[in-house]
Amino acid sequence: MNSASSKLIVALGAVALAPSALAFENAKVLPAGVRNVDIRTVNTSLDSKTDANGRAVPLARPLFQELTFAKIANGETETKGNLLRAFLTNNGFSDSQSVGHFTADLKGNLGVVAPVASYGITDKLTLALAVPYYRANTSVKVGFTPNATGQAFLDALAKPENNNSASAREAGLKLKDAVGRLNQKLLDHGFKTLNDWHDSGLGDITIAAKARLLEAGPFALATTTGVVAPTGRTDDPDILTDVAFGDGQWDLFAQAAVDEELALGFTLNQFVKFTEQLPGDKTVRGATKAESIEVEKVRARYKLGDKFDTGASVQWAADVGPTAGIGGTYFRKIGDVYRGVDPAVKAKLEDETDQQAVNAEFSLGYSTVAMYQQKKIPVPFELKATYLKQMASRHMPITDIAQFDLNLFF
Amino acid sequence: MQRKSLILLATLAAVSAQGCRPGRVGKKPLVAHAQPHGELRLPGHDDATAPLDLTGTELDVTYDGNVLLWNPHVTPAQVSAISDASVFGRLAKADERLYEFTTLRPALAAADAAVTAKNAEIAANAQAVIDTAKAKLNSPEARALKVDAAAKWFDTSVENLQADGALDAAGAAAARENFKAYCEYKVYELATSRLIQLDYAERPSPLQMCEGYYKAQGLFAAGAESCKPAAAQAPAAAKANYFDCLWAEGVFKSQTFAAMAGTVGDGATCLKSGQKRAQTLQLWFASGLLRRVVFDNDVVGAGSPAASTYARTFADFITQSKPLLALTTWNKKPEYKPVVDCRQIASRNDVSAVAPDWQHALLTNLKSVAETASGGAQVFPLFDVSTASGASADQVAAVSATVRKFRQYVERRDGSKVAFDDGTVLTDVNVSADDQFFNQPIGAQLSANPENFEGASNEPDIKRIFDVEAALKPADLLAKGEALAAELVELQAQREELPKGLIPYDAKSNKTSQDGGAALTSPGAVALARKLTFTIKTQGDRAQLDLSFGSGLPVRACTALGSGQGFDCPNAALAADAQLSLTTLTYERSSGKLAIAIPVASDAALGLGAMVRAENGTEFSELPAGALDGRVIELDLYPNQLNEYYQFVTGVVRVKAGGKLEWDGSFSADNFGR
Repeated sequence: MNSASSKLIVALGAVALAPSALAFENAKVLPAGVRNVDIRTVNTSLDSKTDANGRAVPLARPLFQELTFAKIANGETETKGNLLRAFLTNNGFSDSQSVGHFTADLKGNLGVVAPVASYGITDKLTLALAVPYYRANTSVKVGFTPNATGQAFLDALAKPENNNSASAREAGLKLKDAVGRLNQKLLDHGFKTLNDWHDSGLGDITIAAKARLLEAGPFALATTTGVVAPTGRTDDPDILTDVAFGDGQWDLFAQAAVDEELALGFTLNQFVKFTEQLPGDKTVRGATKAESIEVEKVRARYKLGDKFDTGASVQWAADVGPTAGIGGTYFRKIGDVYRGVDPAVKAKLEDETDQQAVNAEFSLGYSTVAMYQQKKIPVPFELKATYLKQMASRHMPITDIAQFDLNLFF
Repeated sequence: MQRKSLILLATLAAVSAQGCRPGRVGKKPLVAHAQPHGELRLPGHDDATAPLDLTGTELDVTYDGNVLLWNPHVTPAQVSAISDASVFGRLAKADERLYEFTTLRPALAAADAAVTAKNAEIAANAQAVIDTAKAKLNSPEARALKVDAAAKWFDTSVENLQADGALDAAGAAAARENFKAYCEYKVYELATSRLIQLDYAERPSPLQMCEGYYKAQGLFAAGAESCKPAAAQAPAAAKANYFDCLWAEGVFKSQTFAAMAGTVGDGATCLKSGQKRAQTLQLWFASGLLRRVVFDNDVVGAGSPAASTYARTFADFITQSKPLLALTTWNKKPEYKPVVDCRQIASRNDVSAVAPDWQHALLTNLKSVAETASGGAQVFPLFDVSTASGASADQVAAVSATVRKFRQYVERRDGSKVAFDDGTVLTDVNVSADDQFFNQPIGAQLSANPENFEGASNEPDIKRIFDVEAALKPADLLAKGEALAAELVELQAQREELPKGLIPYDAKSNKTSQDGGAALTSPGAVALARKLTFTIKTQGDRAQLDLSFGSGLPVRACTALGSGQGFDCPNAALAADAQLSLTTLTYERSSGKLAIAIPVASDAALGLGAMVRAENGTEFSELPAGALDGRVIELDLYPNQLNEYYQFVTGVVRVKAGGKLEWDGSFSADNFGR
């Protein structure tokens, strides 16, 4: 079980929603003096992710480990380990043989409420502040299924000429309680046991400024720049099933969005966004591919991979209120880089950190803004439900995201 | 302003309602799918072989083996070599035991049974041979053989001695002459013995060996009336007295008697002394006076005759006859006058002069065939051989061997008893072997001894002298006996081959033992290696373990098998061994484990002290002296067995200091050498 306990919730924080790059971008800004509060809620659940080839794999895949003789021997004292290795040799086993495998199921739910407060400084410039609040829980179940080699091992121990029946019983009981022993091993090395987990708290706060720079006929161009402050909880190196609410370092981002007004209330939007994740340092487990439990915590410098988002959508808004939209996005994040750690640890930390995803998105909503502007209704607001469907991805949690936005203007 | 306040409130309410609920996300509880847990078949006590369960058994088994403490840096390859040798050694020994118990022992038992049966068959055949020969023992055939063998023996012996160079021609001739004189002596001996007073069915022989000589000299002529078998002398007569035969046909016809008698003169005058003596004796014989002289002089005088007087010898006869003769002459008793009519015998001196000549002629040199000591030299009167005369050691040895055989026959005291009419019984009568070997019917009074032919085997040398039994044995049975003997040899050879079946097993065991020794002494593998001996005894609910390392202090521990709890061994047992140290023993029935914890006061006393590693030595300790002092040595013993015949115990050793493990070890022992 040595390598089973690498972080299970890989990049779940990626769904921590920045106020942009999702849900139908546009080039609109608030009029000067107008304030807007967008009560954005995002809910998703996840139990799988994609591998390097885009195939879906369970989130708990790192727990799908073979328990090999080598791992068992390595867990013993030097003498006992060598006694075991000698026994294996003498009885036709090899160190690399597995006596059984662990299986696991890991599920997670994530909910984010992100009030986004915006204020029109001028008719061309809007400032925004997003303060996400996360609620997340995970559930994990682990099992161990011994195989024929495990049984053969016990039988070999119990052979009269070997006369190790007692050891066989002891080994058998240990295998039977492999999960318990795994948890005990985790505890012995400062980890929390593999149990259900939940937490809530503030995520990384985003401050952004959106400027409508160009209006030319049906075209409008707006840019958004901002920073993401590391205010959310980062992942706990002692908890294998937790969810990070933030990534622990400052981000800078810039986005450009172009709207093209079409006929009959349709608008075509295209955007592109780049996020620079600034370097940071944090405490990590010095896990390697070979061993991730019997490891110490180390301080690591890191530079998370920069992110690139782009997308296009067609949005429709009727004068009487209903809105709708359809679009697609592309997300790309390059791999993380860690420094100051052992190469094996670095390799493990950087493994599967490059990400990309292609999403389709749909929205339905109702807006009174147009009617408010026509003075037909006293309160301007918008309600919008957005559904983001992940079409393809790599190293990403497979998450279909449902987002609700309530925009109030005052 | 009111509108803006409403909006702000609505915003706060929305945020509160949707974003700030702590705890679980979503309405349904999030539960991951339970995962499978496979089952393993754990080897339990039921799977283990019987010896793991010590309860209900009466065990008293001693195991010998080795204990070792691993070097903390022992390599897997080193462990593998040692444990491999141990396991394969165990298997090899088990195979050997299996072969021994299931193949060799039954084969040996069968072979032994076959040998026993063959021996019985041989014995039965031999008995049949004996029985058959015995049945012939008293047959004319047997007698003829024995007579013939006896008659030839002396001449054959002389020829052999001559052929061997022990005697030259002159010596051989002298021996033959001496033998003739000896044979005549035997005539006189029997003629003057009281045995001749008894009646016999046939003429007793003075010495069967001499019958050839007697015949050649015309003694005991078959046609002489007095010498005929009793039945021939008088119809229906079972016995007859052969006194007359012995004297008339024996003494008086002997060369000695003739020599004494000298030349017969005119008879009207006084005879020459030799003639006078011979005539006197013949007159006495003819008148019956001689018989009375021989038999009655014992009663002369007062009182009953002593038993010893019956054991007369020829010398006695001579000695005791002289006074009688003298008395007869002096008294001139009427009853003797007719026969003592030789007027020349007128004086006592004349009479007394008769006997000494006889004595001189017959007894001086040839009364014994023995080898005698004469002035420190070995002398053999019969053969005229003496070391003093320059005979070589080989000559003396050869002659001596012949003389001894001769003596065994002629002087053999056979325990015969002779009962006389007056109730006197003589034992150990020297009647020579004639009655026994030749079944001379010397009278019912002479008890049969030995009763059968086989009895003669008590005196095998005598059997060898004549060696007639082979001739009495049936040829077919002898052939069968030889065939059976050959078969027996074959069976014994086959039986001797059987243990060789162990050789491959021994070789295998030795190989594993050598491998184990080499592995054990591999540098860096083992820190300590010692011999280990322990005995497990169970009785009822109790088990006792006696354990010792090398020649160290023995340790004894006891446990109650039912509860598994240890208890102090009885002090009585401790008293018997002052060096014994006590500890406690626990028993775990579920695994069959016996666990003992030995507090170490002194590792040296316990037999685990420092020991320099000798070249190829399998006992050593690289630990400093006293390294184990104050520690506790824990041993977990797991008795087991292979294929029902090979019992062994393996286990682990832990050396702890204050509960902290310092050394791991192992041990293995078995009862193979027991």
